[in-house]
Amino acid sequence: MATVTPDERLSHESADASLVARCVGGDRAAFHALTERYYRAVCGFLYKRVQQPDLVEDLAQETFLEAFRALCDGRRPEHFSSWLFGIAVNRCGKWLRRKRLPLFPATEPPEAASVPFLSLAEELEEQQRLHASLEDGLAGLPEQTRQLLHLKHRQGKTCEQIAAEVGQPVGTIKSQLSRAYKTLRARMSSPE
Amino acid sequence: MSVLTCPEVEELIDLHAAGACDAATDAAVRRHLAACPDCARARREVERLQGLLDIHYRAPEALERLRTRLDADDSGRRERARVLPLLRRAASLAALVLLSVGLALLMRPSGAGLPSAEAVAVVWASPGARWSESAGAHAPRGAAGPEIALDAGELWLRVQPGKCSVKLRTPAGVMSAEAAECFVAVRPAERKGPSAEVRIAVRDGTVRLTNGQGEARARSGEVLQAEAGGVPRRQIEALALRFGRHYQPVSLKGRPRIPTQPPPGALAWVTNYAALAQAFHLDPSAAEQLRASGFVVLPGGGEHELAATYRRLQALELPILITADTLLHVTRGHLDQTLHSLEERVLLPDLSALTEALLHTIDRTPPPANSETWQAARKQALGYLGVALRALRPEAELPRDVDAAAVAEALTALRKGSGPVHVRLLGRAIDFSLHRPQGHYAGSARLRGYHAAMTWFSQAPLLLEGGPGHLVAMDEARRQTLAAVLLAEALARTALPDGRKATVAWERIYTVTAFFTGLTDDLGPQQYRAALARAELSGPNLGRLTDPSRLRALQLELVKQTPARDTREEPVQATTPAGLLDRLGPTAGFRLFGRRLVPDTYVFDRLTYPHIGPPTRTGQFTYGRALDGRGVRALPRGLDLLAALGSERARELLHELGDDAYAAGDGAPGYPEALAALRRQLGGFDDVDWNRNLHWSWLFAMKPLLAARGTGYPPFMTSPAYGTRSLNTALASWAHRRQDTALYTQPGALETKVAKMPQIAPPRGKSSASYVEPVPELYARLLALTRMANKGLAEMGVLDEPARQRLGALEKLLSGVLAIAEKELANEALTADGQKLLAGLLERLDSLAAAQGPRAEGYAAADTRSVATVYTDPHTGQVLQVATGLLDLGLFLYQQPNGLLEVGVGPVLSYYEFKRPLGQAVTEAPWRRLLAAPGGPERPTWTRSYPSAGKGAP
Repeated sequence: MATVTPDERLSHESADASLVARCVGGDRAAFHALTERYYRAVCGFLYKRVQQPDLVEDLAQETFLEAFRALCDGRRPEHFSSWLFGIAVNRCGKWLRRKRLPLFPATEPPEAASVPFLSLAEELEEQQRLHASLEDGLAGLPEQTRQLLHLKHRQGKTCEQIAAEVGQPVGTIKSQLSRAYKTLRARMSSPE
Repeated sequence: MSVLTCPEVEELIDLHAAGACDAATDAAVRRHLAACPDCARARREVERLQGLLDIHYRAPEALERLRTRLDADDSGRRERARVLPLLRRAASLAALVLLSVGLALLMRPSGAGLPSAEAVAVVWASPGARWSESAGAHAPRGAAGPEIALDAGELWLRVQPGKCSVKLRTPAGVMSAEAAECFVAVRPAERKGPSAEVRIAVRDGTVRLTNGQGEARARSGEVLQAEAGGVPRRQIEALALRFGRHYQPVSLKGRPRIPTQPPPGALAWVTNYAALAQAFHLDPSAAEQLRASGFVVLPGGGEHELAATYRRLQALELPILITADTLLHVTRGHLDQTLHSLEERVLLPDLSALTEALLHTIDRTPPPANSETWQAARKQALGYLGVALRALRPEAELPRDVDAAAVAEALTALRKGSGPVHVRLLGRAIDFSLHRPQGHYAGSARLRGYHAAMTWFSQAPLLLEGGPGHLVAMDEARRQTLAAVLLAEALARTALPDGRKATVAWERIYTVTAFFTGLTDDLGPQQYRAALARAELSGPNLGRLTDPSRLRALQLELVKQTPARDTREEPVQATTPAGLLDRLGPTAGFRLFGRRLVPDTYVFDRLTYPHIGPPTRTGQFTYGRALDGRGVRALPRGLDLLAALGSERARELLHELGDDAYAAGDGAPGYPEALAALRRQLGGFDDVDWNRNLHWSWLFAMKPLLAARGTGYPPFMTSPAYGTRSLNTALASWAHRRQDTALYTQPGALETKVAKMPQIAPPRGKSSASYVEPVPELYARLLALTRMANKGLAEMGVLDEPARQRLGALEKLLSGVLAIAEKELANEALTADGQKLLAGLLERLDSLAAAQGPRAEGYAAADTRSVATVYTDPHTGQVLQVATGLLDLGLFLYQQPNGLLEVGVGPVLSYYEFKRPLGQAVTEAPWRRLLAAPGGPERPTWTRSYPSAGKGAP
């Protein structure tokens, strides 16, 4: 899935619209479906802006929570994905401003409350493309390598811990990981 | 490693981004990246892959966490929607929104019970304001609210709650508000000059500003701004938002499923009856209590440390029960220890450097004008700082212009904790008796100094308003305001010797303490600087402040920034802006570090005279006589707080004790109505609101102890006696925390016979923990609170490694206890891992307690003894003190999943409360002596309603 055709986008949006309508009607499962659909994309987008993987989950949670509350209060966004990304932009903005200890001086520059104009649809496409090619790339790797990546990125283990666990020298683990990263990068940067 | 080439770096770059290079390679790659922009760019691409992989692999768990949070949020919403009628819901949601600014929201008039007055009141208009009212004429379809147009000047508006939305049109945008109070100022467009501008300072409620470019909202304490043709913007205090981000609720697994069981016919049915009988000679009434209620609390044996108590209990050969009291006390101890270490390492050096640098700045800078008034103000500002500097560093040299004798005098009163004493420097009497150092502050000379300086900065304000009916003369208040202005200005342009800006040090002290105890809504340097700018008095214009009308303008600007604190539940009457100053209270003024208002103090304030009507009987604990001889609800009591937080059992006890026997009258509601109103206000907050800082979070964590337990819980938890015992536990932990945070938060001894400790038999072998008191909601909240402390303080960059490790160890203990409690309630046998965890709990507790050993002379965070003053009543000249003492022992009867009944034993905290005359509050040392004396202090009568008739054994 390198790009999204206009037709595909329309079908996505109509699917979103029906989930949004169900969610406004109090169907929690509908919102879970929306989180499934957009969670990774929102995280990728947030990561691009704040560059801190640990922070991304917090901001993503806040983004979805805010969206959820707004839908529960009867809000019906026209384009759910752009609207959701708009919330994510705001959350990022708030965080970036908080980062500078913002208490003093009291006459600090005021916070702009409106969303800066961005092509959020393009952002979304970009994120979906990246995650899709990452998944394709991972699927193309040997099972053993995927296992190493799992240990490294899901469980947060060091190469030494992984080596001890799988019973191979640290050097072997490192070169396998290095090869895998390079393959994935090549895959993601080629416009298939 | 030698210098790397670009191709070599390209080879290593992925592993480098993944943090998988050894130290030498890592350093070499870094050196290369610092010098090579191409590789540095490539490295950013590589990092993106790392980020995407983290997201990809962590997504399933993260989605699970998100789902749990959404579900919790949804359930909370549904519950509130079900319970609250529409109007109250609107009012409490508005309150909820306000909460993050601090306690200000609680001070707002409630929407309930308002007479149907005009929807909007223009309370005041500035001279020359151009405005008109057009009731509903131009209202858009469907919103038939009144409209006001403001073209120039300033209006003070009050939009009544429960009414329709009100619109105000300005050249720069349309404001809309429901249930709000604000100042709206419009500067009209100038020819060839700037376009029109609107500025809205919100004192209460929420206000929206919309124009063609967008929309912004603001709530109490915030400001909205827009220019014609520009985007509406909002100024916020970001701290309020920042802290809450660190709180992540911990979800609970499973539901209580322990089968209901009638009490055993006789204690002899209990499997470990023989050991029980050998360890405790229970008198018949205690034994009957144990059998019928499933638990009994026996007077303890003089222990004041959990670890020591558990060690002694291990000798009893009875299974050991880890009580909720234990985990509350351990968590509290860790928070106290963390604060203590931060104060020693970070806050004290910062405060000392800040005070000295400010003193030098003001000493070196000539005042804005060479008038006598400015010279006097400068001298006062120097003296103000001099007191704190000498408190922090007794040997510090003071500038020549400081009145050294006045400084020494003030310092003596401050150190002694004198009762009302005239402080020459500030021209009035100040009572320091409620601010004597306790707990960890009492233990070292340095911290006593820090305590004195902080008390001075928060409790001795430079007053804003003087004259008849005020604490000082008009001239003195003007001088003090000028001194405050000098301090605020100096703070903005001072640098510390280490190169940091003074504001950075100030912020750090404020931020860390606000995280522990809450934000302040007192006036401080930020507000004074903002007010100066708004009144166009900054910089070279500062000299004009000696003009009384300019000074009045500054005062008015300060008032606008202060969130509303109307205490009467009625619409605000039209008054003049000068009258607003009266509503700030007599001690409104500049505090370098403001006092933190906490919900407990607010609850106490709302449940005492003059907010409660006259008594219908006399002699109850809360009853007192005001100076004019009238009977009033003079003092609150701990149960008031728990009842306001929702405890039905506390409400019943207050009724039994006669402490709710106050009827409506003298313009105030009766106790039952006032309590109901408070419950509505507090009940409208969700867990995000409750977790804006650690103090609020502590109250939130206590709430599960207040709930009545139904089916599915062990029998001992379903008896009314257990409800009372839980109140005792909640209050004891709260009382101790009040002592820990007394420096930052706002604020008689009775005697009885001493409880006798059972004589414990000599050790026969060690028993281990075999049951955890199953209150998983409490443990989940304590865990979330500990994580919040860890994350929040780490982000502020003030946590050192030992403190981080201590909090980490506490997290582990709490998550272990939580997991066990969940299993117990699910009536499942523990897995081998669970059993190992349970068996290791005592060891963990022991090592946590060891880490809490005495750090200062005579003080240990793990000590269970404390005393704090939590309320002062100026009408009857009394204070309410709460205290904790020695540990008691609880015997708890529970059923193992295999159906066998067993008795476990564990420590229980003790709680005391008493009234004392103002100025004679009991401090720590006498309290400890009182606890140790034969006959010791008496517990509140209501705690006796749970059995305490045990006697020593063998």
